[in-house]
Amino acid sequence: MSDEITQIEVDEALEILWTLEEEGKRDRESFKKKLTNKEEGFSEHRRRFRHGYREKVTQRVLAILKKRGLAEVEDTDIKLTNKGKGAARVIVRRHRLAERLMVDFLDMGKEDVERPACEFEHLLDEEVTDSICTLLGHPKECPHGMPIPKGKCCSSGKKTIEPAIIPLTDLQVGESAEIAYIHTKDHPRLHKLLSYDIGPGSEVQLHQKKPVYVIKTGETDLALEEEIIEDIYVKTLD
Amino acid sequence: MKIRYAREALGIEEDEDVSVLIGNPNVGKSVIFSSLTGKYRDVSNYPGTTVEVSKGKTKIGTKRETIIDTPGAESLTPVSEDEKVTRDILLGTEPNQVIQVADAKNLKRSMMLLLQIAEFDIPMVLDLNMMDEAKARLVDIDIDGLKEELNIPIFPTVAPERRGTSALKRGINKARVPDIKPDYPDEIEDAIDELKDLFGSRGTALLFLAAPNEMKEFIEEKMGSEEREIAEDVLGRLYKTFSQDLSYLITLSIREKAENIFSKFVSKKEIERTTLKKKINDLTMDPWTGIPIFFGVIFLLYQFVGYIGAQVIVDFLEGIIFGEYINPYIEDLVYSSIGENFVSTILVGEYGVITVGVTWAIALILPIITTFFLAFSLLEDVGYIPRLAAMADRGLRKVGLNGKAVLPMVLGFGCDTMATLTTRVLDTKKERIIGTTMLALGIPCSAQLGVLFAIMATLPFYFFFVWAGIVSSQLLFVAWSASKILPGKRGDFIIELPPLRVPKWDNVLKKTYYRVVMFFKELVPLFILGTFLISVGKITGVLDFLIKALEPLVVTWLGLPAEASIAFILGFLRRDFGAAGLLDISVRMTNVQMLVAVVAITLFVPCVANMLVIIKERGIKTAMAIIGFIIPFAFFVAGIVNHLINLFGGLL
Ligand SMILES: Nc1nc2c(ncn2[C@@H]2O[C@H](COP(=O)(O)OP(=O)(O)OP(=O)(O)O)[C@@H](O)[C@H]2O)c(=O)[nH]1
Ligand SMILES: [Zn+2]
Ligand SMILES: [Zn+2]
Repeated sequence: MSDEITQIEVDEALEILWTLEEEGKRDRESFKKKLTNKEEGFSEHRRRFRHGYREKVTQRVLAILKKRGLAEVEDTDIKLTNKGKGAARVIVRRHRLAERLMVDFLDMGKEDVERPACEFEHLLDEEVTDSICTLLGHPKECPHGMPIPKGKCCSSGKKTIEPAIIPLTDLQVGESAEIAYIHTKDHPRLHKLLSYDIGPGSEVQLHQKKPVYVIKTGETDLALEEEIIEDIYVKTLD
Repeated sequence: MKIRYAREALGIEEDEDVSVLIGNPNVGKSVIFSSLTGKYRDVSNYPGTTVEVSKGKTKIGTKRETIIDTPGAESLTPVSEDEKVTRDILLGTEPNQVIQVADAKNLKRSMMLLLQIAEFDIPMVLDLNMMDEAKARLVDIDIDGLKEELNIPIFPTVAPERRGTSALKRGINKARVPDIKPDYPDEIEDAIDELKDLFGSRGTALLFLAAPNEMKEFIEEKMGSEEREIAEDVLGRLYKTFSQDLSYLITLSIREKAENIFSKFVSKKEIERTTLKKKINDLTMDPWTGIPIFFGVIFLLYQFVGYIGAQVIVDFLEGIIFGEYINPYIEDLVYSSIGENFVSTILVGEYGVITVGVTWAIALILPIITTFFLAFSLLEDVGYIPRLAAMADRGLRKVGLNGKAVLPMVLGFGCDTMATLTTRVLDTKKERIIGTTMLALGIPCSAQLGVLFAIMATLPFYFFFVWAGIVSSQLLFVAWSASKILPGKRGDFIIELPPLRVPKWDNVLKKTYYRVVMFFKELVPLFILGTFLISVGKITGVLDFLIKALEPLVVTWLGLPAEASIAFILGFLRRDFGAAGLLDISVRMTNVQMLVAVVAITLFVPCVANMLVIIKERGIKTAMAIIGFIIPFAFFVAGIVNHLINLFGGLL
């Protein structure tokens, strides 16, 4: 293995700096710890950061960031430049959208998505990223509650032709939507919902959320518990 | 429930011409059934289940016709016990025709059910009921087009007004085999082809593919081992082909077809006015108005059942009719004819089968179940029951139940024995156990509550809150713990909210009548058996032995006078007797002792009849576990109260 710093690692360094700034931290020590911490679940290419290398690697990464004008180092503080912010923003956006995708669509646990999201973020180009963003309904936060930087698609969000998919729980009272899919492994539940004509393609109207969810399909009003509603994802209609 | 015996089980001869009424829940089948059959009907539980099935006879022209009303079903691939019964009746009675009742304003769901029935090659007619509501909601149905598409006769009706019902009745003879099929995936279609002769029809083959486990009994009854293997092979092949659940794929195909029919023949004019009716509907569900309405209904329900039924009418029947007239007369009669001996003690002694058991059943239980079912049937006919359940869902979920448990819990304050029977409406075994335990542990029935209130009146007023606080906190704590500890799941809460309607009194009264008769028949033997057991206990000395055995515990741990142990044992006979026993010795007790005694007797064992119902409904093992928990727990809690108060002496 060479000690060459790859683009992937630069990306990750940028991502780390962005998250640190969100936490209000800028010190070199935190950066070094995050960059070289295997436990955080970062991928293979971090394995070679063994004891002696830690400082060396940090130096090298910082040198590259500086050279490319992505970050500035002052004493013990590291600051992203505007250019660096722009680059980091794109990467963080991909990462967090990838997390959303995996949690909402692939039924993965919040804890399990960190590593695959990391792999994912290097594969997506801008167009694909924006399609995912649109598909997910321009989500504002990742599953861990961190903000997802907005993309081009988000500002033109309302005008997009592609309908957005959101959990039925996020629908406003009074709004109608078409069911995109129902996310459950519980067959009797699915069967029951289907027999009430709650299934992909059905149009539903959210009538109220409290004290119970009431939705309307056709001429039927149904009261359902939140746990079931959470399984239902819809495309908003307007 | 053996499918093959469906005719026999329902008392139908092989050569009778049978029409089966099938429909989604709440579409008006019962009303249609009444208008087809007139007065005569025979309601019974389907063998091996708790599901009501009505049977009636009618004449069409000169032909005699037997009509069976099935429980409402969303689908023939059963999820609920109701749906299982409907499926078994369809499979087992081999009806000459099926009358499907549909809710005209909800035709898509009815079409999904129709497409499943159509696969059985049985002649059908379709009744489009609730035409009035469809019209009010501007739902427009092209009936002629639909007739042609389905190839069966269709009759629009408004059942309660008897509009269209005589045409429907005359039309039963014109039933035809529908000619409509969903487009299943090719592999499934092939599988149906291979299996349809084995199973007797496409419909049965489909039921097998969608839920093989549900068809075990059918297969065992009808197939040899070779045929079973073929069926398993076909199924195995499909499992390899599709990654999705087969029942899901089948339902999707059915749904697509239903959707297709629906969009072709049903249209809705867009603008719908917000009518007054709709506003009232919304008010019952809106948190600001719905919750007060909910508590108002619960309050009225309790006033009607717990006060008018369980106190006013009971006092009159038990105290005056039975107490002053009937029982003295019967006692005289028995003693003068057979003298004082074992038999007369059993019949009319202190815990006599007649003077206590029968009196209890008629004077106490009958008024309670009559008022309850009258209120219940009325609320049901109005369409409020599902709303009641929906409003209570959130709260009941915290203790491992869901909204459906609201009625058993409210009814418990009337009569725990009766309420335990109604825990049948709960979906899962776990919920039924939690519900039963709550009823047995800490929900005092109205009779007991009456005496408890009388005791409370002799104590400083804040004792009431201490008592209520202890009992309700223990009740919630136990239910909550049980929901965490017991294995299994809580049932999903999905419930349809029918529009509120003006009640039809004849429908309400009929339903009340059949339910009272059914429950009464079930309960009376238990009460008689209960008093019989107590009498035997008395005669053999077991009762005295128990009272003596309990004494040390009562004296040392609870700090009560020894006589209090009699009250606890009496409470086992009837919960209010126990409380009354305490009232009798209250002069000899301090206020704190009274509090401890009242807490213990509230939590202590359910009455003997309730216990028998628990055994009957939950099985002996579960019943023993529940009782085995409650007895020590009640004494434990009451003892702790006693010791705490003594420790912090003079706290109260
Ligand atoms: N407006 C209107 N109400 C109807 C009509 N038919 C029935 N109802 C009402 O609908 C409610 C349900 O009727 P039921 O006959 O109990 O329904 P069901 O199909 O037997 O119900 P389950 O078998 O318990 O599922 C009652 O309040 C009836 O009075 C109709 O044509 N128009
Ligand atoms: Zn995240
Ligand atoms: Zn976006």
